[in-house]
Amino acid sequence: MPLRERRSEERLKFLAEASRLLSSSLDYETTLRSLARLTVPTLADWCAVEMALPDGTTEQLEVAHIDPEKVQLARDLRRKYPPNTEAPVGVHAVIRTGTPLLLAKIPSEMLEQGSQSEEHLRLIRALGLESAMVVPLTARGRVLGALTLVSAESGRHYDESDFTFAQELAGRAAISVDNARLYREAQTEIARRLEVERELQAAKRQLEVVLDGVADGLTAQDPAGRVVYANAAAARLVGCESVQEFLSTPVEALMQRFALFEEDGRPMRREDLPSFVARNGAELPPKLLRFRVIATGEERWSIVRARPVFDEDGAVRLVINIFRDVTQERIAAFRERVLADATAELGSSLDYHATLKSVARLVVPQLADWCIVHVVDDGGEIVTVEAAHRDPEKIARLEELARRYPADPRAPRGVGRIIQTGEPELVSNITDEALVYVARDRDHLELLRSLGFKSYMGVPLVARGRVLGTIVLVAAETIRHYNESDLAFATELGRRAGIAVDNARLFADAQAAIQKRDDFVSVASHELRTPLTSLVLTVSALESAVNAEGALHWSKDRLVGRVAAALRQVTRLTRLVDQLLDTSRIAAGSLTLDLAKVDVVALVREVVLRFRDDAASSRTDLVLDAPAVLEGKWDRERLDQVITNLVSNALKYGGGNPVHVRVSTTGDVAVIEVRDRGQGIAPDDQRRVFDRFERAATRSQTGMGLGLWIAKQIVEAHGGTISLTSEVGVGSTFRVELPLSGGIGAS
Amino acid sequence: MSSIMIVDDDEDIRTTLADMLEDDGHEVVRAENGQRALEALRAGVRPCLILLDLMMPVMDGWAFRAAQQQDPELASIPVVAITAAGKPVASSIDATEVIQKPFGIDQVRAAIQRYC
Repeated sequence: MPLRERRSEERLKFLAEASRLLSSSLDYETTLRSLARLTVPTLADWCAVEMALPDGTTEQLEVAHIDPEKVQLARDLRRKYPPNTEAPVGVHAVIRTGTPLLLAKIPSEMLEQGSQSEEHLRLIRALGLESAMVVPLTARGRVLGALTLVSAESGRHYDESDFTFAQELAGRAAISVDNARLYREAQTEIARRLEVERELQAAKRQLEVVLDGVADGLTAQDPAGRVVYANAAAARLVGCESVQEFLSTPVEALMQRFALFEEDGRPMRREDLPSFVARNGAELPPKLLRFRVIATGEERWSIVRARPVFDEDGAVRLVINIFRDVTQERIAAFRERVLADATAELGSSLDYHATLKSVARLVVPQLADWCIVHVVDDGGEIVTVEAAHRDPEKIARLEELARRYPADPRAPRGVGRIIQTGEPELVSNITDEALVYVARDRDHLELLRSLGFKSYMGVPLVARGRVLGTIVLVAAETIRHYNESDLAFATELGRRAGIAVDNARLFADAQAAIQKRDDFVSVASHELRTPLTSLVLTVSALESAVNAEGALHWSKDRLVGRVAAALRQVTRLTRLVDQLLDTSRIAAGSLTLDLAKVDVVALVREVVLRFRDDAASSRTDLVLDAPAVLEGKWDRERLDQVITNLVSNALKYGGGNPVHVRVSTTGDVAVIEVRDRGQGIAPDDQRRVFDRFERAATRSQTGMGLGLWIAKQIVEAHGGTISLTSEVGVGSTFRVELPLSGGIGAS
Repeated sequence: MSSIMIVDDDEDIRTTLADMLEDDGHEVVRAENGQRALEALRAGVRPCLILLDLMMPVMDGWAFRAAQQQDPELASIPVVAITAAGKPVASSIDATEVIQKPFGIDQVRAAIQRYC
């Protein structure tokens, strides 16, 4: 093979080897070093690789020679005499200009110019440098460094073909370096981006944690209205299980879950919604939004605010919505108002039935779907005063329930128990099992279910330690679940209502007492005037019995009769005054009994005898039926008073029919019965005859109505009882039972 | 002399008043309640004046006065109510005149003077 062809083949083999080496690794420093060593001694005795640094300086990456001692020598030399980077010829000039340099024969002057001292020159010369090629490592127009090939001991002189090959080799090396550097930059960039992304992810997670921790709902909408971000609170507030559910549900579908209202209850137009306004680039002040969850009927309140976010061109890029659930605050405020209104309402009138009705209506529907008020009436019956609900049809159903299944006072829960114990009740969640437990039969259960009760509170109406009724609040349609704070509100409402009921009743009682007192005064005055009239007339008649000369012109009988009449009036007046005194004495609790052994038969006989004349004058038979003797320990005077009163009444109201007085014993008890066959007393009046200032028939009968009341007090002070059985048109029987052993209340 | 009717459930008043009016020379008819008085009138008794108590058992003064006014034979007889009741009750009777208890005999004599 001719020399030329052999060299060409060797070069091709070398290039192949160099290319393999350059592509073996992206660590171009290592591959360049290997390349430099590869060239020695095939292409050069010396090979150096000088790399340009970003700061404009250079760095010798490698210097290769077959002899490691010479390599060390070259390195020492360079350290001792750092190259002049500004030199017009040489490695640095090639790196600066990108122009390759071929020195077939290194001129001696060049060595002299490049040396920095005699010693330096001597050392350079000692290296025996013959020929040199300096080729730039150029890629994409930039000089990355330079490859220097030098012949010395081999005595070889580089020609143009060597120079071309060297440039080819440098070109490949440069591409490899460039690739490696690009790759390295890309790797660095990728790593940097990964780092940034990691940081962003961490920041995003942190932000999400923060935003999810925020109680306020937060969403971001794009200009088309799509929700692109929502926090956990936002998802919860619109009734979504998760943020994912929220984001995957179209806004239209979400909006259909709610009915929106202005604060005053008017339906809210969509274009008045803050988010709608913000999408058009405007911002409203925070707005109070009232909405009803259509599925449950629950009413809630929210403060909503929306803010547009603009891009560089001033177009709306995002709308940030912030909404806060203020239902609890609204309920609290509403409770305050209800309590204030209720107090005003309760204080406005003494008709407590009417005011309790108004109070029940104040509560519905904001705080309860049902408000049911019961009061305990004078007879101890539990009466429903009001059952308030929005829907009259439901009220009718409740009335049916109350009629068919009246409240059981012995039930372990409910109105009866609250009235008995005065303790409020709270059932946060009424389950169907609870309804099944409470229901008395299938119909009852169906009715209860149809009313849809979900949560219940019952509180007493209390005043001065007495339970006067109850207020029951029930949540049904709105699915509110009452809690302790609701119960505290209801209890306060009950307390205020209780005081109002108590005041109204006290006022009514006071009015009734005043009325009775007035009646008494007029009756007492009437009773006193009657004997007084007789007395005045009798005394003036007596006056006229004596004529101008002082002579008596009346018969003795007539005179005695008139004086006796006058005495009777005085006795009558005395008795009336005594009754009045007894009344005030008993009322003051100072009735005392003077107990001694008394034969009640003898006493009754004496009283009957006393009334003999009266009975005769009204042609009434007064019949006594008694054993011979019946002794007990009693206050004789007081007992006389009781029997006198009963006999006197029987004669007065007996209508002239026979009056029977009977004395008997039952065990250790003496029984005195006085029976007339007069007009009788109507059932309604029977209860009242023993009350103070009461008379069965006020206008047509006289008497103060104190006698029976006083009699009752006396009998009870003896530990006995007095009772009445009467039938209109048949007559009345008063029965006194007295223990023989004497008075319990005696002193 | 003229005839006077006294209607009062209080026997002492009836007796004392009757005695005094009889001493004055009047003829006196006594009744212990409205029912008895009405019976006497319907039996033909025609007093020139009726002295009528109001609060009485069986038939009270108001019921008597209503029955009397409804009877054309009796309606024209003047009635002077004599009552121990207070003003409000006393004024509720549609009587010719009202005298409140306690009263003196002179008040009755003056009334008789006016109507008999």
